[in-house]
Amino acid sequence: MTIQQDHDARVVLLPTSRSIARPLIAWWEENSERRIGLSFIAPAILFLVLFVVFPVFEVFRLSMYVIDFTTDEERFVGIANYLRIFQDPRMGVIAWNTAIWTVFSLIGQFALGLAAALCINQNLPGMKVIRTILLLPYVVPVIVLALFWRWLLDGSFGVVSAMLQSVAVLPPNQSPLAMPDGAMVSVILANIWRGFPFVMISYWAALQAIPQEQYEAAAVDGASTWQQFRYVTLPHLTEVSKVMLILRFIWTITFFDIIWLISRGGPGSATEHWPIWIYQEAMGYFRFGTAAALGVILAGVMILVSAALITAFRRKDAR
Amino acid sequence: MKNSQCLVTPAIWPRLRTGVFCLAFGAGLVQAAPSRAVEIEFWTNLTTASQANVIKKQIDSCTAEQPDLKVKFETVPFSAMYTRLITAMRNNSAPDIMNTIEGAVGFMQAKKGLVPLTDVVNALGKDDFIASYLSAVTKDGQIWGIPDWALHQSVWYRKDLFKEAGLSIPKSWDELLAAAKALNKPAKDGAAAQYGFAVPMNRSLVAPQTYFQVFYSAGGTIFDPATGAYVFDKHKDTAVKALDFMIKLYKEASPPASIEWSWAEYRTAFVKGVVAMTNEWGAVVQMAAEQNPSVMANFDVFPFPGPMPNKKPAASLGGGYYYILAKSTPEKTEASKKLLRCFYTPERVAERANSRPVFAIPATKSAFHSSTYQSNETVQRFKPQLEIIFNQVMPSWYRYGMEGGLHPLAGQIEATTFIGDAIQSAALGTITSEEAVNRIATQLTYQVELLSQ
Repeated sequence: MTIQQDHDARVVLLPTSRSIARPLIAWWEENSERRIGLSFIAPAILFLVLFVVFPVFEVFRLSMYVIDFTTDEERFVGIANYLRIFQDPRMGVIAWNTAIWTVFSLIGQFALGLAAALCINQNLPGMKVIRTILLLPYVVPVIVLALFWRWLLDGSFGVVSAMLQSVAVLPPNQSPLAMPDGAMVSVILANIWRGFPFVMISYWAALQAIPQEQYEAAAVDGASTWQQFRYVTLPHLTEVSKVMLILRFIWTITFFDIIWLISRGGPGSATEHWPIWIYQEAMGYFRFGTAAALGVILAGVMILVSAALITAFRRKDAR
Repeated sequence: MKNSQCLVTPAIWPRLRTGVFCLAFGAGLVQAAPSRAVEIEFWTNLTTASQANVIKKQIDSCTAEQPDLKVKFETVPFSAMYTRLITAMRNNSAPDIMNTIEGAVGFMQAKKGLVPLTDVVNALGKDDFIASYLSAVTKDGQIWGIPDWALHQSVWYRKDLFKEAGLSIPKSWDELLAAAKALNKPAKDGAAAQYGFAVPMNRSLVAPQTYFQVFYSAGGTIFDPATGAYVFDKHKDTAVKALDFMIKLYKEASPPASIEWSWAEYRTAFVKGVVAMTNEWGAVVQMAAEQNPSVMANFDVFPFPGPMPNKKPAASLGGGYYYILAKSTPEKTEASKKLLRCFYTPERVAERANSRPVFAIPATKSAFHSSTYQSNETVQRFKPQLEIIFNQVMPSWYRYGMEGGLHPLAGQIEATTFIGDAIQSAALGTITSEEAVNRIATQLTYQVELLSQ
């Protein structure tokens, strides 16, 4: 902008400046509604920039640096942190554990959530109490849930372990948490138990929205209960399933607390998944650059899988 | 501004008024200067109410002697400590005083965030402290933490079961294994099975603690205690031998689930009679008092033996709680040092140790022998055991990575699971002991190189 002072030391805008400012002023005057709209969304944009855009950018930037934890000095290393991760012999095991954890947790949560939603959709006496009870795992703090599971699975005093020992599934004084496969099954079951109420409540809301007339029409046409479920209920649950699948996928693959509190990723590395790896790199070895690179890779996987799911949904809809 | 006003006011009364005001203001300044309060932040990792309350009470008592000092006291769980410290140090808001274990002392010192406390230790009387607790936090000729109380590991066992089986105190690994096997009892007539020895191996913290107890007893170290040089590679044979023995003890005398046991599980097992012996920090005493007091009369202790009979164990795995001072303003540092000096009367040190008796043992001789400590009911009850620990275990201990003095490696071992992973994998049979030790050595070498850069 060209600015000049006149003989009275007043600042004046030269014609060039005025010509630039004029369209802005005109836009300002003509778009009062847009201005109001912008002022409404400005706090949200500011919030997003501060708490989403900046941290994401910062993680991406850090992933290309090595940070000396004693001096906090940063050294640019390009993609070296990424190369180190892909050369790490643990990567295959941890990626496999992450996939098993995510896929089986989702299958369990959706199956149990749907079954529970169909149950609580019945107008039976005491259903309000049952609905509340079924929601409990979702509202109980994770630490309580983890300690509860550890106690259930304790090899000497746990109820579940004692039952399994009594039917010779486990040897005496053995716990599923002390066996690699048993530990993975245990943490997945705990996660299913923790996550199914969300699926249940979402499905239940969708079930409540299905017009009763459709069931009546199907019954008149001679449809069996299974056929009513297959051709009336399921199609109405498709949209909510798509949203939930993506949401629960993101929440499950990044869920750290429950595994860490129950098994710490063990025994061996049997239940060590990607978020535990990130945690150990950052808060154990203080290798913040590597931890950031692991975070970026995980975000990349989440974006790719979510995009693949959305594309598959769209293709199916198009057909 | 006020001074110039004092000089230029022309009329007598206004001048007088202003003069009176100036005098009052000046007097106020003179009085205000010394009463300027210093506020310091004080963190402790001791979240157990009984321990935290004693510290809080002593802060109140000591600040009564320093009226210009205000202390903001906070308990920070050990699990959140490194996260909180990193964040606080980045914000220049690290606590002025922190009560923590030696791993955090090494971490803070490596970050150049500590004030040396050699002068305070000398003023308190260096000889009064048990030497091993000072050497663990000594680096570059300076002492970076004041030992508060001792963490110690030894074997806790049931006297009645030993007597019943006709066993005497094991003096070697072979004798220990034989005693453990002799104490195994299968489940019978509704009674639960009894195991000879608990070998807890939870990958986070517990597996390294169990393993290094065995490794140290055989003379192995990560760093040379004399030179501070990295020597784990030279001790690989000892490391493999120690891991082989530990796994043998686990397979032949420990419950199978103990591969993932943490402190709560093995202590409960000992107190409830599921195991007859355990390598322990002394916390079983309080746990037995709460859960099964009748068994306490049969508790006894002996140092974890070395591999050879009639040869004392080289060392044990121990640790301690320390007070450290973060770098701050000279006023805060001076006030913090004064507060710490107040904390170190033998009675106050003893009071803090007595807030969790037997688990915590004073790290100063004067506090250990003080009437405050010795008159505690639990201390009196376990007097012979405490004498063994104080005289035989506490003088020669190491913390992993700090055998040659203060080193941040200890903090990394505690905050990660690479040692626990390797140990658990060897115990599960997915890798050999040699492979496990090689994995540990590779990671240790890498970390030591990184830290020395």
